[in-house]
Amino acid sequence: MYAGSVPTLSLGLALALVGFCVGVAGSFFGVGGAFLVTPALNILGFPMALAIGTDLAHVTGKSVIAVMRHRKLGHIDWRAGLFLLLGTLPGVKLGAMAVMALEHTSSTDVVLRFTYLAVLTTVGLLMLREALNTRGEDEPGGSPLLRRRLRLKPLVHLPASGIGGISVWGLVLLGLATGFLSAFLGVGGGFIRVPALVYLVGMPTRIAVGTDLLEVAFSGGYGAFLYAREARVDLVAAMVMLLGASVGSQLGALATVYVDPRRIRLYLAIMVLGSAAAVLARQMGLVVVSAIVLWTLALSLAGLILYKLAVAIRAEKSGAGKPRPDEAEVECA
Amino acid sequence: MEENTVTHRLLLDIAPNAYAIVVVAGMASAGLVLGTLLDQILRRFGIGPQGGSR
Repeated sequence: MYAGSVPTLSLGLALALVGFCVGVAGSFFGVGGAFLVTPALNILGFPMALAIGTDLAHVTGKSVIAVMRHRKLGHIDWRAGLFLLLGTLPGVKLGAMAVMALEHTSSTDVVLRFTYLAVLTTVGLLMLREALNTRGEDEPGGSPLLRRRLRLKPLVHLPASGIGGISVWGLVLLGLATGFLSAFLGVGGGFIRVPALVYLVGMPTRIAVGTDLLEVAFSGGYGAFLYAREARVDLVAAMVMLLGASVGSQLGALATVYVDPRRIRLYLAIMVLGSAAAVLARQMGLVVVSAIVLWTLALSLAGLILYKLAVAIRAEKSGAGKPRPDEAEVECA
Repeated sequence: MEENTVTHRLLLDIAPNAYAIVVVAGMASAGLVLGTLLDQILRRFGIGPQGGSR
């Protein structure tokens, strides 16, 4: 479908739709959404490196929109975001260098796809198990690993997340690891960072979503810079996707207010596993099946999120809805 | 790169870093403008909480 230069009308519509769906899902889950966009662009005919670069460019603009909305909702821990960022940027640089090195070999696409598959499947299964075992609207129980095991000073307090003390080094290393994966796999890193912030740091899910989008904006921007320098960004395609994503991002961020945190994690696990299935199908040569799985997944989840948002807003306007969990906080602010 | 226009190729050849900065700044600015515009629209229709940050 992709033939370079100016996209055709059908390709333009497909790109805008991908942008909208991923805008809703990305802003709702706190991810860049590249695990949907990169394979989608690849299926539409973009070479892998160009698909990654174009996606990172669109993620930069989309994340700015999502951060603006989450800031209004009080879902961003700025202090944690700053320390994560200290690791994220070098991590992105290392990841991009690894991809450029691999590009000189003939196995780039295969290596990237299998790494994708392993990471998506592992994270998805772990999240699914936790989300199904957690009852009610609770955050995951237990003592987060990073706070329990890594007590290397200096420690930092994160009042916005309700965290008493956590090692600065832990946050920086977390940023480094997820930044590397974000550039290496062409992802914003969110689908790894959000679970890591929730399970390893103990951050509330909504705050993890908003804070991660702050990271995604920077890591996406830095990644886009590195790929643009190597002529691996299709600007027209990125802008078309951004137009769709701008609407979707606003709606996705709003939906986090109305859906309980356990369901956010459950939906994210389903999304990650479905995306892994699509990548696997493509690796087996089932390109059409892969596209169907991917599009069904994106449209279904975006539809579900929008449906829940519409029902909640209608109930709120009629005065029949239950109070939002963070309603008091927003009003206080 | 055949997928780039002549202008892009020229900019890339002369100053790749400047070109990349323009790309990133352009995307971020576009996000800022679109975000502000849509925020105003949502505010106009009273959709969702419109409170400030903590």
